[in-house]
Amino acid sequence: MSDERKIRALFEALADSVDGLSDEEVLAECREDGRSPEDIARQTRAVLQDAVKGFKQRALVAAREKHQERTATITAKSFRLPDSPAARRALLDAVIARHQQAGRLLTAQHRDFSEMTDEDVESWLQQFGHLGLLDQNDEPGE
Amino acid sequence: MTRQPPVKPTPASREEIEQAIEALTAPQLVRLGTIAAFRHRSLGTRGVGRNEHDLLSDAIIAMLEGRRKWFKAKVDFLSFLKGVMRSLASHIRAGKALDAFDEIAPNPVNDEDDAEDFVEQIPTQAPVDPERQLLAGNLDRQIREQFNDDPEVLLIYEAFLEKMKPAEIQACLGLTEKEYNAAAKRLRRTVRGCVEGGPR
Repeated sequence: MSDERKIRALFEALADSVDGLSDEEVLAECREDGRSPEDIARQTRAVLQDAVKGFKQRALVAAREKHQERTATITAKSFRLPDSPAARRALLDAVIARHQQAGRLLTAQHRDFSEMTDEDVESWLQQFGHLGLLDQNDEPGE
Repeated sequence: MTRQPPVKPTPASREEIEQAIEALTAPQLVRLGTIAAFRHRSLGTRGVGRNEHDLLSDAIIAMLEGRRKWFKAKVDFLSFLKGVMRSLASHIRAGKALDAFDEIAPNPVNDEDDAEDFVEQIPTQAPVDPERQLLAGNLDRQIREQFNDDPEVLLIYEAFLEKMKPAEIQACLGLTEKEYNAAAKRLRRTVRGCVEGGPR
Protein backbone atom coordinates (compact mmCIF):
# COMPACT_ATOMS: atom_id res chain seq x y z
CA MET A 1 0.00 0.00 0.00
CA SER A 2 1.43 3.39 -1.02
CA ASP A 3 1.88 6.05 1.65
CA GLU A 4 -0.89 8.15 0.13
CA ARG A 5 -3.32 5.22 0.14
CA LYS A 6 -2.44 4.57 3.76
CA ILE A 7 -3.17 8.15 4.67
CA ARG A 8 -6.48 8.09 2.82
CA ALA A 9 -7.49 4.99 4.78
CA LEU A 10 -6.36 6.64 8.01
CA PHE A 11 -8.43 9.78 7.50
CA GLU A 12 -11.45 7.76 6.49
CA ALA A 13 -11.16 5.77 9.72
CA LEU A 14 -10.61 8.93 11.76
CA ALA A 15 -13.80 10.42 10.30
CA ASP A 16 -15.69 7.26 11.25
CA SER A 17 -14.15 7.26 14.72
CA VAL A 18 -15.80 10.61 15.51
CA ASP A 19 -19.16 8.85 15.26
CA GLY A 20 -18.36 6.78 18.32
CA LEU A 21 -18.12 9.89 20.51
CA SER A 22 -20.86 11.41 22.62
CA ASP A 23 -21.81 15.06 22.11
CA GLU A 24 -19.90 15.99 25.28
CA GLU A 25 -16.79 14.19 24.05
CA VAL A 26 -16.96 15.94 20.67
CA LEU A 27 -17.12 19.36 22.36
CA ALA A 28 -14.45 18.47 24.92
CA GLU A 29 -12.02 17.24 22.26
CA CYS A 30 -12.57 20.40 20.31
CA ARG A 31 -11.74 22.55 23.35
CA GLU A 32 -8.73 20.39 24.26
CA ASP A 33 -7.35 21.03 20.78
CA GLY A 34 -7.59 24.75 21.46
CA ARG A 35 -10.49 25.26 19.06
CA SER A 36 -13.71 27.00 19.93
CA PRO A 37 -16.75 24.73 19.52
CA GLU A 38 -18.93 27.82 19.23
CA ASP A 39 -16.86 29.15 16.33
CA ILE A 40 -16.81 25.80 14.56
CA ALA A 41 -20.56 25.35 15.05
CA ARG A 42 -21.21 28.85 13.68
CA GLN A 43 -18.88 28.29 10.74
CA THR A 44 -20.41 24.90 9.89
CA ARG A 45 -23.94 26.26 10.04
CA ALA A 46 -22.89 29.13 7.76
CA VAL A 47 -21.46 26.64 5.24
CA LEU A 48 -24.76 24.75 5.18
CA GLN A 49 -26.83 27.93 4.93
CA ASP A 50 -24.59 29.30 2.17
CA ALA A 51 -25.08 26.09 0.22
CA VAL A 52 -28.86 26.54 0.43
CA LYS A 53 -28.58 30.21 -0.49
CA GLY A 54 -26.32 29.41 -3.44
CA PHE A 55 -28.73 26.74 -4.63
CA LYS A 56 -31.67 29.17 -4.50
CA GLN A 57 -29.73 31.90 -6.28
CA ARG A 58 -28.66 29.44 -8.93
CA ALA A 59 -32.29 28.51 -9.53
CA LEU A 60 -33.19 32.19 -9.75
CA VAL A 61 -30.35 32.93 -12.16
CA ALA A 62 -31.42 29.98 -14.32
CA ALA A 63 -35.02 31.26 -14.37
CA ARG A 64 -33.87 34.77 -15.28
CA GLU A 65 -31.64 33.45 -18.08
CA LYS A 66 -34.53 31.42 -19.44
CA HIS A 67 -36.76 34.48 -19.38
CA GLN A 68 -34.10 36.60 -21.11
CA GLU A 69 -33.64 33.89 -23.71
CA ARG A 70 -37.37 33.83 -24.39
CA THR A 71 -37.53 37.62 -24.60
CA ALA A 72 -34.58 37.67 -26.99
CA THR A 73 -36.26 35.08 -29.19
CA ILE A 74 -39.43 37.15 -29.34
CA THR A 75 -37.50 40.35 -30.05
CA ALA A 76 -35.44 38.70 -32.75
CA LYS A 77 -38.48 37.39 -34.52
CA SER A 78 -39.77 39.96 -36.97
CA PHE A 79 -42.96 39.52 -38.96
CA ARG A 80 -42.88 40.22 -42.64
CA LEU A 81 -45.36 42.97 -43.31
CA PRO A 82 -46.73 44.41 -46.55
CA ASP A 83 -44.34 46.78 -48.28
CA SER A 84 -46.55 49.83 -48.65
CA PRO A 85 -47.83 51.95 -45.73
CA ALA A 86 -51.34 51.79 -47.14
CA ALA A 87 -51.31 48.01 -47.25
CA ARG A 88 -50.00 47.89 -43.67
CA ARG A 89 -52.85 50.19 -42.48
CA ALA A 90 -55.29 47.93 -44.25
CA LEU A 91 -53.79 44.92 -42.50
CA LEU A 92 -54.06 46.68 -39.11
CA ASP A 93 -57.75 47.40 -39.80
CA ALA A 94 -58.27 43.75 -40.68
CA VAL A 95 -56.57 42.54 -37.48
CA ILE A 96 -58.67 44.91 -35.34
CA ALA A 97 -61.80 43.74 -37.07
CA ARG A 98 -60.87 40.11 -36.29
CA HIS A 99 -59.74 40.71 -32.70
CA GLN A 100 -61.84 43.09 -30.62
CA GLN A 101 -59.39 43.06 -27.72
CA ALA A 102 -56.60 44.19 -30.02
CA GLY A 103 -58.84 47.04 -31.11
CA ARG A 104 -59.52 48.11 -27.53
CA LEU A 105 -55.80 47.97 -26.77
CA LEU A 106 -55.03 50.19 -29.70
CA THR A 107 -57.90 52.62 -29.03
CA ALA A 108 -56.64 53.09 -25.51
CA GLN A 109 -53.49 54.66 -26.90
CA HIS A 110 -54.63 56.17 -30.19
CA ARG A 111 -58.07 57.75 -30.22
CA ASP A 112 -57.80 58.61 -33.88
CA PHE A 113 -56.31 55.92 -36.10
CA SER A 114 -55.75 58.41 -38.87
CA GLU A 115 -53.22 60.25 -36.71
CA MET A 116 -51.08 57.15 -36.28
CA THR A 117 -47.75 57.41 -38.06
CA ASP A 118 -46.57 54.70 -40.41
CA GLU A 119 -44.02 53.69 -37.73
CA ASP A 120 -46.84 53.32 -35.17
CA VAL A 121 -48.75 51.09 -37.55
CA GLU A 122 -45.69 48.94 -38.19
CA SER A 123 -44.88 48.71 -34.47
CA TRP A 124 -48.46 47.68 -33.59
CA LEU A 125 -48.50 45.07 -36.31
CA GLN A 126 -45.23 43.59 -35.01
CA GLN A 127 -46.63 43.50 -31.44
CA PHE A 128 -49.84 41.85 -32.64
CA GLY A 129 -47.68 39.37 -34.54
CA HIS A 130 -45.84 38.40 -31.34
CA LEU A 131 -49.20 38.03 -29.62
CA GLY A 132 -50.18 35.55 -32.30
CA LEU A 133 -52.86 37.75 -33.82
CA LEU A 134 -51.40 37.73 -37.34
CA ASP A 135 -52.34 34.82 -39.57
CA GLN A 136 -49.93 33.25 -42.03
CA ASN A 137 -52.20 34.76 -44.71
CA ASP A 138 -51.45 38.22 -43.33
CA GLU A 139 -47.79 37.94 -44.21
CA PRO A 140 -47.06 38.79 -47.84
CA GLY A 141 -45.98 35.89 -50.02
CA GLU A 142 -42.52 35.51 -51.58
CA MET B 1 -63.08 -3.87 3.70
CA THR B 2 -60.80 -2.56 0.97
CA ARG B 3 -57.14 -2.31 1.71
CA GLN B 4 -55.52 1.03 0.96
CA PRO B 5 -52.42 0.85 -1.24
CA PRO B 6 -49.21 1.54 0.73
CA VAL B 7 -48.33 5.21 0.76
CA LYS B 8 -45.10 5.83 -1.15
CA PRO B 9 -42.74 7.81 1.11
CA THR B 10 -41.91 11.24 -0.23
CA PRO B 11 -38.47 12.75 0.15
CA ALA B 12 -38.04 15.84 2.32
CA SER B 13 -38.82 19.15 0.65
CA ARG B 14 -36.36 22.04 0.38
CA GLU B 15 -38.14 23.76 3.25
CA GLU B 16 -37.80 20.67 5.42
CA ILE B 17 -34.10 20.46 4.62
CA GLU B 18 -33.69 24.11 5.57
CA GLN B 19 -35.59 23.54 8.82
CA ALA B 20 -33.40 20.54 9.60
CA ILE B 21 -30.27 22.68 9.12
CA GLU B 22 -31.65 25.32 11.49
CA ALA B 23 -32.47 22.64 14.05
CA LEU B 24 -28.90 21.24 14.20
CA THR B 25 -27.40 21.71 17.65
CA ALA B 26 -23.89 23.02 18.35
CA PRO B 27 -22.46 19.55 19.14
CA GLN B 28 -24.00 18.17 15.95
CA LEU B 29 -22.49 21.00 13.92
CA VAL B 30 -19.07 20.50 15.51
CA ARG B 31 -19.33 16.78 14.78
CA LEU B 32 -20.20 17.51 11.13
CA GLY B 33 -17.35 20.00 10.81
CA THR B 34 -14.87 17.54 12.32
CA ILE B 35 -15.99 14.68 10.10
CA ALA B 36 -15.96 16.92 7.01
CA ALA B 37 -12.35 17.92 7.75
CA PHE B 38 -11.22 14.29 8.07
CA ARG B 39 -13.19 13.22 5.00
CA HIS B 40 -11.60 16.03 2.99
CA ARG B 41 -8.16 14.81 4.04
CA SER B 42 -9.15 11.31 2.94
CA LEU B 43 -9.50 12.56 -0.64
CA GLY B 44 -5.73 12.76 -1.00
CA THR B 45 -4.66 14.12 -4.37
CA ARG B 46 -8.29 14.32 -5.44
CA GLY B 47 -8.89 16.84 -2.67
CA VAL B 48 -6.67 19.40 -4.38
CA GLY B 49 -8.70 22.50 -5.20
CA ARG B 50 -11.36 21.62 -2.66
CA ASN B 51 -11.58 22.60 0.97
CA GLU B 52 -13.06 20.81 3.96
CA HIS B 53 -16.34 22.69 3.60
CA ASP B 54 -16.93 21.60 0.01
CA LEU B 55 -18.10 18.12 0.95
CA LEU B 56 -20.67 19.62 3.32
CA SER B 57 -21.89 22.04 0.65
CA ASP B 58 -21.97 19.35 -2.02
CA ALA B 59 -23.94 17.04 0.27
CA ILE B 60 -26.58 19.71 0.92
CA ILE B 61 -26.81 20.62 -2.77
CA ALA B 62 -27.16 16.94 -3.71
CA MET B 63 -30.10 16.76 -1.29
CA LEU B 64 -31.69 19.98 -2.57
CA GLU B 65 -31.35 18.87 -6.18
CA GLY B 66 -32.90 15.53 -5.32
CA ARG B 67 -29.84 13.51 -6.29
CA ARG B 68 -29.79 12.29 -2.71
CA LYS B 69 -33.28 11.91 -1.29
CA TRP B 70 -33.75 12.23 2.44
CA PHE B 71 -36.70 10.24 3.76
CA LYS B 72 -37.38 11.66 7.19
CA ALA B 73 -39.17 8.58 8.43
CA LYS B 74 -36.23 6.34 7.60
CA VAL B 75 -33.25 8.24 8.96
CA ASP B 76 -32.51 11.42 10.91
CA PHE B 77 -30.99 14.39 9.11
CA LEU B 78 -27.58 14.25 10.80
CA SER B 79 -27.04 10.58 9.97
CA PHE B 80 -28.22 11.11 6.43
CA LEU B 81 -25.95 14.11 5.88
CA LYS B 82 -22.97 12.19 7.24
CA GLY B 83 -23.85 9.30 4.94
CA VAL B 84 -24.04 11.55 1.90
CA MET B 85 -20.65 13.08 2.72
CA ARG B 86 -19.12 9.63 3.08
CA SER B 87 -20.66 8.55 -0.22
CA LEU B 88 -19.47 11.66 -2.09
CA ALA B 89 -15.95 11.28 -0.67
CA SER B 90 -15.93 7.64 -1.71
CA HIS B 91 -16.98 8.54 -5.26
CA ILE B 92 -14.31 11.19 -5.56
CA ARG B 93 -11.64 8.91 -4.07
CA ALA B 94 -12.59 6.09 -6.42
CA GLY B 95 -11.97 8.40 -9.35
CA LYS B 96 -15.52 8.12 -10.58
CA ALA B 97 -16.00 11.85 -10.54
CA LEU B 98 -13.79 13.68 -12.99
CA ASP B 99 -13.50 16.84 -10.95
CA ALA B 100 -15.16 18.90 -8.25
CA PHE B 101 -17.92 20.00 -10.58
CA ASP B 102 -18.98 16.56 -11.71
CA GLU B 103 -22.41 15.23 -11.11
CA ILE B 104 -22.35 12.65 -8.38
CA ALA B 105 -24.06 9.34 -9.14
CA PRO B 106 -27.32 8.70 -7.33
CA ASN B 107 -27.27 6.50 -4.28
CA PRO B 108 -29.06 3.30 -5.35
CA VAL B 109 -30.09 2.59 -1.77
CA ASN B 110 -32.52 5.47 -1.54
CA ASP B 111 -32.63 6.77 -5.07
CA GLU B 112 -33.89 3.86 -7.08
CA ASP B 113 -35.50 5.87 -9.86
CA ASP B 114 -32.35 7.63 -10.98
CA ALA B 115 -30.04 6.33 -13.63
CA GLU B 116 -26.29 6.41 -13.21
CA ASP B 117 -24.56 9.35 -14.75
CA PHE B 118 -22.36 8.22 -17.62
CA VAL B 119 -19.54 10.28 -16.18
CA GLU B 120 -19.52 7.90 -13.24
CA GLN B 121 -18.56 5.09 -15.53
CA ILE B 122 -15.35 6.75 -16.62
CA PRO B 123 -12.71 6.07 -14.01
CA THR B 124 -9.83 8.48 -14.17
CA GLN B 125 -6.29 8.25 -12.99
CA ALA B 126 -5.59 10.56 -10.07
CA PRO B 127 -2.46 12.54 -10.87
CA VAL B 128 0.59 11.47 -8.88
CA ASP B 129 1.77 14.36 -6.76
CA PRO B 130 5.29 13.73 -5.42
CA GLU B 131 4.87 16.44 -2.79
CA ARG B 132 1.75 14.80 -1.39
CA GLN B 133 3.45 11.41 -1.47
CA LEU B 134 6.24 12.91 0.59
CA LEU B 135 3.81 14.50 3.06
CA ALA B 136 1.96 11.20 3.39
CA GLY B 137 5.21 9.38 4.04
CA ASN B 138 6.20 11.96 6.63
CA LEU B 139 2.86 11.67 8.42
CA ASP B 140 3.20 7.90 8.60
CA ARG B 141 6.71 8.29 10.04
CA GLN B 142 5.59 10.96 12.52
CA ILE B 143 2.73 8.80 13.80
CA ARG B 144 5.02 5.82 14.30
CA GLU B 145 7.62 7.94 16.10
CA GLN B 146 5.05 9.72 18.25
CA PHE B 147 3.45 6.47 19.42
CA ASN B 148 6.58 4.41 19.74
CA ASP B 149 5.77 3.99 23.43
CA ASP B 150 2.00 3.68 22.98
CA PRO B 151 1.47 0.34 21.24
CA GLU B 152 -2.31 0.52 21.72
CA VAL B 153 -2.52 3.54 19.42
CA LEU B 154 -0.03 2.09 16.97
CA LEU B 155 -2.10 -1.08 16.69
CA ILE B 156 -5.26 0.94 16.16
CA TYR B 157 -3.41 2.91 13.48
CA GLU B 158 -2.45 -0.33 11.75
CA ALA B 159 -6.04 -1.55 12.04
CA PHE B 160 -7.29 1.70 10.48
CA LEU B 161 -4.93 1.13 7.55
CA GLU B 162 -6.44 -2.33 7.18
CA LYS B 163 -9.89 -0.66 7.08
CA MET B 164 -11.08 -2.59 10.12
CA LYS B 165 -14.27 -1.45 11.84
CA PRO B 166 -14.22 -0.20 15.46
CA ALA B 167 -16.02 -3.28 16.81
CA GLU B 168 -13.55 -5.56 15.00
CA ILE B 169 -10.61 -3.60 16.34
CA GLN B 170 -11.91 -3.71 19.88
CA ALA B 171 -12.52 -7.44 19.68
CA CYS B 172 -9.19 -8.12 18.04
CA LEU B 173 -7.16 -6.03 20.49
CA GLY B 174 -9.27 -6.91 23.54
CA LEU B 175 -10.12 -3.27 24.22
CA THR B 176 -13.21 -1.93 25.94
CA GLU B 177 -15.15 0.75 24.08
CA LYS B 178 -13.80 3.34 26.50
CA GLU B 179 -10.19 2.23 25.99
CA TYR B 180 -10.67 2.17 22.24
CA ASN B 181 -12.21 5.66 22.18
CA ALA B 182 -9.42 7.04 24.38
CA ALA B 183 -6.71 5.59 22.13
CA ALA B 184 -8.51 6.74 18.96
CA LYS B 185 -8.72 10.21 20.48
CA ARG B 186 -4.93 10.26 21.07
CA LEU B 187 -4.44 9.29 17.45
CA ARG B 188 -6.91 11.92 16.16
CA ARG B 189 -5.27 14.69 18.16
CA THR B 190 -1.78 13.76 17.03
CA VAL B 191 -2.78 13.48 13.38
CA ARG B 192 -4.61 16.79 13.55
CA GLY B 193 -1.54 18.35 15.12
CA CYS B 194 0.70 16.93 12.40
CA VAL B 195 -1.41 18.16 9.50
CA GLU B 196 -2.51 21.48 10.98
CA GLY B 197 0.52 22.27 13.11
CA GLY B 198 -1.75 22.47 16.16
CA PRO B 199 -1.54 20.78 19.56
CA ARG B 200 -0.52 17.13 19.68
